[in-house]
Amino acid sequence: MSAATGTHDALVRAWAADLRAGSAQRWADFRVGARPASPSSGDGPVPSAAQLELVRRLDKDLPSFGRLADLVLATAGPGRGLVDVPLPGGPPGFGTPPVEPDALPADELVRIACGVLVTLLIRDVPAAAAPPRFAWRPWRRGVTVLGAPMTAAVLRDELRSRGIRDGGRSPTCLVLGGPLDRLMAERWSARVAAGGGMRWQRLWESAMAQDRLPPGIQLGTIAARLSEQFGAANVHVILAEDPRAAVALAGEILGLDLPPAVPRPGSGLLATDLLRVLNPLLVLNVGEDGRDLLADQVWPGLAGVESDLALAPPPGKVGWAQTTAERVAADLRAGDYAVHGDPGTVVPVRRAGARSKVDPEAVLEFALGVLGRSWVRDLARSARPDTPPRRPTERQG
Amino acid sequence: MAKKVILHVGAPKTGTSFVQDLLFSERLALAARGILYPADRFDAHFLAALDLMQLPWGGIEREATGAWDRLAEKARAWPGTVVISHEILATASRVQVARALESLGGEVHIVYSARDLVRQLPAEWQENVKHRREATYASFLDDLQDPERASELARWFWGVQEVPDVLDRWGSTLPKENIHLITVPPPGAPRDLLWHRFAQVLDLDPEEYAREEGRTNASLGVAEVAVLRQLNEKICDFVPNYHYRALVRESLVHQNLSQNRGSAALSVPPDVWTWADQISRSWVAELALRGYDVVGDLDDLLPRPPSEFVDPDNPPAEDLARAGLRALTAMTIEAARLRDETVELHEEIDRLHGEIRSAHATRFYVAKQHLVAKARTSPVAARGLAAYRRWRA
Repeated sequence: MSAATGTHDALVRAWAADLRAGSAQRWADFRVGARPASPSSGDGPVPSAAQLELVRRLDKDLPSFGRLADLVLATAGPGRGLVDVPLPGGPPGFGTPPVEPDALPADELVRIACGVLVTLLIRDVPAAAAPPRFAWRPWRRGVTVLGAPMTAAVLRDELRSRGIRDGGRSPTCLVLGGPLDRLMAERWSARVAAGGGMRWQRLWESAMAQDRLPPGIQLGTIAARLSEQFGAANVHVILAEDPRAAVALAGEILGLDLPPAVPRPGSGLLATDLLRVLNPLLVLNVGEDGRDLLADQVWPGLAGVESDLALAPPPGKVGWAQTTAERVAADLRAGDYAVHGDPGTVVPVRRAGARSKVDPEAVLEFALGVLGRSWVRDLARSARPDTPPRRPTERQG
Repeated sequence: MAKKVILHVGAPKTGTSFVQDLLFSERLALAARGILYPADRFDAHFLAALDLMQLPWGGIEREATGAWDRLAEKARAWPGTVVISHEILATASRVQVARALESLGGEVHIVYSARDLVRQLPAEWQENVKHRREATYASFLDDLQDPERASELARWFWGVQEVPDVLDRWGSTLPKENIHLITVPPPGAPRDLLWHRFAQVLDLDPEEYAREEGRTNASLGVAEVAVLRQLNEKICDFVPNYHYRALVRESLVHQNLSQNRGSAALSVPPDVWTWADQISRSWVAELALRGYDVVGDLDDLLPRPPSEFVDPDNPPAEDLARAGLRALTAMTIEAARLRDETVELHEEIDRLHGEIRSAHATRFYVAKQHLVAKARTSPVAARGLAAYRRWRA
């Protein structure tokens, strides 16, 4: 190691120590004010700009912040990304070009955050929970709920809690629909919750290339199939602008006083985009069953409920979305089943504040919050004397 | 604890498959000499590499859980020399390298095989195309020339191919004499020279394990790779990866298009050659100062004089048509073979249905069926059926 490299590395380690102690000073400012450090090899590899910047952005009020900082600095970035980004100010060399840490792309920091999150999550994979028990009332007619996947899941849970079974020989069939972009967003959330890793844009690209909506939200096809199987009189297509209105309409049809639909925690757009990155990493570490348990039982508590953000079709897909939605609306108008609401609702309209892609900066902010809550959860776990980590081996780097 | 661990970390497209195949097929003979290649298939260390680097890989990572720890455990338990080899290890970060070295124990030697950049550039693009990518050659080369390495493609390429950086990440905590840089001989060198160089590092007699042909990655010509890239554009939204692997990569590319290449070899345009030459010279100058054990000649890493460039984004129409026809022929023959398979399976299903029908045609079976049907409506028959079932139980 040259003297210049040693001095630079010592300065980087000094900044790392400063951040670990709770500073939020940027590298550019720290470097100007710092005294020249004597060359030092230090312990372990010199942290990369991405690891350091993630520490800088974390909430300094988190308990045992220094230990969390140590964990971040000792955790390698998973997946594909910039390899060991150096900080500016060092001698010229080979490898990834130096980057001012606060200028790093947000997705690069999200990648590092995901490595730390996985390390924390897999330390305590919950055991499989017994399915909740409900008071079954077999004399009540079953209800089949299909269509908008996340809203349908919320409605199914509510009905089950009232002893109404899912399906049956001659069920009342509800097909939940709404604006196509919202249906696609729900479809995306549902796929990611089930372990998928598809990006929002990719979902649209795939659908457009095949000129077909993903299964599960092909409202006309679903309603026609149910109509053929159970009779048109038993099929109700519900079209509403938002999940609350859809569930309220469902309550009217079923003659039930249903509470307003509350989105499932952990299924918002930012949570979905973050879970998309985490999914393959969780599978890699604890297998698909472990991922499912974490996603079902732990993730909702960590990710919480987001404010109602909306996603619009990606650029270049708006025309296809309109045409497809009009086709769906025409199918619904031509169907022999009951349609509650205006079929025109399916056609997406430009909504204020809707973005055509998930904002990486917003995902990073969200990831920092989830990371903080995961850290607190892990501290609580380690404080329990009788609960050793469920995973036999764990890694921090 | 293993006395010595030889960790071959890349680079891709430098004969790694050949070496892994040889180590795997000779693993029993090697073990008898105290050299362990702990693998149940030639590329077994791929999963361990995915696990070490926490690298999702199109769903294959499902099989990688705990793979590195298991590999390291085998290495620690072996009393002699252990060889671990996978080319994607080249892109490991320093934290991942530290974990790998710590987990292996023993005296670790890093082996990195390198080939000149002008041959690596088209080889890597071709590999990308064989893995469903749709990027044109021009955009691929643009991405790699971006000094910020903004694209995922550039990050990966330089992560595995930038020789001084890879060796610095893997070797900065090891003695220089434990770092072995094998250079891939230039075109026209004897075919077995690369194996001789590997054998030297592995301390094997190259003649004892010499072989005519080993596993190599299929190489395509300009027109063939152009057809494949355009095919990717058309089918990748419809064909899932497991079908793509079997039908396109294996059947079309490996068994057909790569046999008897029918068009010009891939190369680089003149301006890219100049850029790559400059980079290569800076690498060679740096490596000469590092004091590593160079097996071969650092000058092997300097590009040979530029050859004629045929643009795979605009190949000669006649070559493209010929390659397209070859692809269509191959896929039609494959489709016919699959149809034959389908017909045979239907015949088998019909035969089994026939056997079931024969079994159901006996008087006793017909009487039983009648009783079961009657039991649905007649309480007497239901009681009789229940009694029969109790008797059978």
